[in-house]
Amino acid sequence: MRSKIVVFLTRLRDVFARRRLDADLAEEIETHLALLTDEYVRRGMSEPEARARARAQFGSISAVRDRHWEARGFVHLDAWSRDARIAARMLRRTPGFTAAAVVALGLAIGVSTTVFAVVNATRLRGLPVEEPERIVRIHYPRDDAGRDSGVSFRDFEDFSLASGLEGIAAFRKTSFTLSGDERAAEQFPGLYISSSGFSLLGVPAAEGRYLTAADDRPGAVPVVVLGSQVWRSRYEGDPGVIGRTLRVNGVDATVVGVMPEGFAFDFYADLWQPLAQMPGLDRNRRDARELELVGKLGTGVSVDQARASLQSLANESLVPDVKPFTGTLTGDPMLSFSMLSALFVLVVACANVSGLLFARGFHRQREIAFRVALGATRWQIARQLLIESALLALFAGLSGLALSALGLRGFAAAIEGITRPYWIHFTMDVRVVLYLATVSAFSILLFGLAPALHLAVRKAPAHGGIRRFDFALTVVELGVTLVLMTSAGLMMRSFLAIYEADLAVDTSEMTTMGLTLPAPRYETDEERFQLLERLHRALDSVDVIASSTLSSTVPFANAASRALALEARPLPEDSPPTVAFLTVGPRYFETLGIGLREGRAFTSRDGGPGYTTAIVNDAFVSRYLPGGEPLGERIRLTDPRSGEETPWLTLVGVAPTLRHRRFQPEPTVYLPFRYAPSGSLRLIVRGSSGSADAVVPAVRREVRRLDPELALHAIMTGDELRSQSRWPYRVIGGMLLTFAVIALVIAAVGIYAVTAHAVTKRYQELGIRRALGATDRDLTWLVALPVSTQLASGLVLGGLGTLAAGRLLSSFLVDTSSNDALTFGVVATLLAIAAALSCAIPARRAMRIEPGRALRYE
Amino acid sequence: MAKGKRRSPSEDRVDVLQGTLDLMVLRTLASMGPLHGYGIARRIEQVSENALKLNEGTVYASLVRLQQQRWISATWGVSENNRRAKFYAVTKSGRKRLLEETENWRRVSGIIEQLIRLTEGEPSR
Repeated sequence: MRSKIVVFLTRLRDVFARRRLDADLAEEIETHLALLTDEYVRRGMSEPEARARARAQFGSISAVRDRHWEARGFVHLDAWSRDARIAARMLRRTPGFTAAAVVALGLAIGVSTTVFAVVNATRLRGLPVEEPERIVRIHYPRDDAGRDSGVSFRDFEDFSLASGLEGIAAFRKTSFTLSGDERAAEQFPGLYISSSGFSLLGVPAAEGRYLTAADDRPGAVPVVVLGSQVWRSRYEGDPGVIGRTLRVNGVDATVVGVMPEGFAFDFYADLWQPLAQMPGLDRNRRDARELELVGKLGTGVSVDQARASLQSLANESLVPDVKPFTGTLTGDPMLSFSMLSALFVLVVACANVSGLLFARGFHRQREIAFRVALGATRWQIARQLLIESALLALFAGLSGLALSALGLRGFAAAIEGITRPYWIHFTMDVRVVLYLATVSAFSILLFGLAPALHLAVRKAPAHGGIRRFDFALTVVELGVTLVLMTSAGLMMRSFLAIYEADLAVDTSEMTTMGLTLPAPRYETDEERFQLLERLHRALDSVDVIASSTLSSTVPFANAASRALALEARPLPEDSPPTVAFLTVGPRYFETLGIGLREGRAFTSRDGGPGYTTAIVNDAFVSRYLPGGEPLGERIRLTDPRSGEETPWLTLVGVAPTLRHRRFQPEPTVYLPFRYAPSGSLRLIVRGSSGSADAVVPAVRREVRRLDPELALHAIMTGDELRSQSRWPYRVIGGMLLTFAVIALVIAAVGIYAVTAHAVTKRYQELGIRRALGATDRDLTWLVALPVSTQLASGLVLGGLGTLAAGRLLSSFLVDTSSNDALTFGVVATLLAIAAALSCAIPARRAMRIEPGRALRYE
Repeated sequence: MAKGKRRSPSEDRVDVLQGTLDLMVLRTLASMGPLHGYGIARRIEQVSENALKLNEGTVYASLVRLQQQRWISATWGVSENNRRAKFYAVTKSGRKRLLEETENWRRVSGIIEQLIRLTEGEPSR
């Protein structure tokens, strides 16, 4: 065994000392030959004879060298490194080709890696805890608005007994107002969470401790855990804050600990209080489903197993589901589509490079024929070509890496202001690099294998075969490029549609603020309404404020949804249509700068006794009450989650259609705020012109005057709100557009290269045709014909592709059908123009061929 | 003693020959003391009384293999005609190996000897 190691190491060393060893051997052989020659000379031969004789007796020197090296070094490694060096030299000799291939591939690899990095950050990476793959979310199936349904406290207790789970915790998102410590009241997002939550996640507190079971008992002393953001911004990172008493939502609580930087479970929470502290926590009713659950899988337990063990514990018609905590996020179909698009770009690039390799391969027929004649096996030739491709892929991969790092940074910058969960960081990690390596390796197979095999296997170049494959490659390129361009076009149209729809709202001078009326002090609807009335009157008297209003959500943001029932016409009972729904104060439409189409706006009496009224929008009327007088009709809304029904509401007004959810403007019902004044609301304030800066302080002042414990949060101007709500279209639309442009450029360059090569190949033929009387038009047509056929086929293929991709697209298109003929037409024209331009130059070259020179062309 | 990769019957034969040559070279060095490649080739020719006609270059492959296994060592010196040449000498482990191989060889040839005598001495039936 030892000798084997020694031999191996010696061989390794020999590899590095190659040149010296070669020289040594040469010298030894020279000496040997000289001695032999001298001997023969001594025996009487002449010098040249002796030398020849010595040579013969010695045997083949190259054989000796080969034998020598067989014993030294690694023979196989030699072959590979030699091929690599030859490949590098080849690539250096054709810098144009190499550059085109590396750029095309590099762009494609970079693009696809960037998208993967985004997917990785949002879905694959998981929470920044130990073993993130074991943290799961437990919920009931989604409701119509696509939101997961919550669980009740009873459910939480039941599920705690599940065998598949090592731990389970319940929580509820809320806002906490901190006060009572010489600073102005401030509001922060936070969670009520059961004590098991912290130990489940396994992140230790940075200072003090986190919640324990003792804190989570009914009647325990109220405590609170701070997040590092709050600790730094409000308490200057003073460790002495532990043990201090703060007023949280009006109730005194002791600070017991601070969580470390970078922890904000579950999304962007800054504070945590025990679940037992949650006002209105119903421990008994099974239909009080307001909690969310997080669990930790037992060791070796799969998600399916956990799901099964939970389902056996459920006792109602609702069946719980288990999924990885970071498994899904908004923007899902868009993310999938981006991933698909990025892969399409890769396909285009690979088809392109494959075509280029084929074209170049044609010029090397002779070289390869020589090598075959000299004894190279097919495998050796294929290997050398593959190594060339591998080298290309290596360079492309490296450039792709740099590109994707930049792209990722750009993406992160583009969505800088958008609130997102704390566990999403757009950084590169090992998984992303592995993906890049895999994609690079895979693309070698994709573009390198076919030409390599083709050249190595064919004895005589089969022109028909090459041409067909070439043809197919270009058709695929064009088709895929078309799909990408169409998608980008459709996204742009959607963006424009949204943009136009949003213009209805006048966001100049508009500011929105969030306000929470915490439960212990504002228990009943009436208490809340009274405060808001007083606030409304106070704001009315402020100079800088032109008008103010409130609503349950701001425009462009997520409205709730309700099932609809019409008095005039029965609608399907089992799957009633849903409408967007929000509650708004009086002067809502006025503050937004919108005039009603019909009827009147709400007054402060609407929503009170005897005034069960509602306002709907244009989209609602055209969908549900076409052709007729909508005012006076009655409707009823039902909350699909809790089954709560409104009484029959009378329509008193029709508003223009605004966008209240991310995508499509849709039928919307507005209810008076007084009808259901929630504790968490948005103030919308329009300042009188030129007073934007003064508005927020004024509102703050009035709020504090009414109740110093109240605080504003989430302050945003109307413009900010509007552009933020459009971010998916902006960012992802931008990405798609970039992809489409990249694909177009790659395809165009590819067409140019292939056409130019074709002209070179047919130089003689074209010259002869010219000599025989072909006109400019004839020659141009000859050159352009294949491209035209490819374009036509590519359009067909692309059209089919768009239809197929349409399903993914349609879920986020606005006012645009995925089969939009206009977009397709424009895109197809652009593509045709690009293709025409690409073969214009080779066509001109063809036209300038002199017959005489062509005939002599070799 | 030699390493081989993909083996065909002819390659096997080559290996046996290589092994035998390696042994002869080792033996030569052990008995003659340090020699250079030319000297070894001459000696082998001499000893085998010209019966062994091999291409002299093959000695060098042997020398590399023996060097790899650390059974001989090499130093640069000056040859008879004032040229630089590598002189090879057997090492201690080389001598040990030689003893083993010689023993082996003797044993094998003894067995073969026996077999031959046995079949020759068989009375025909």
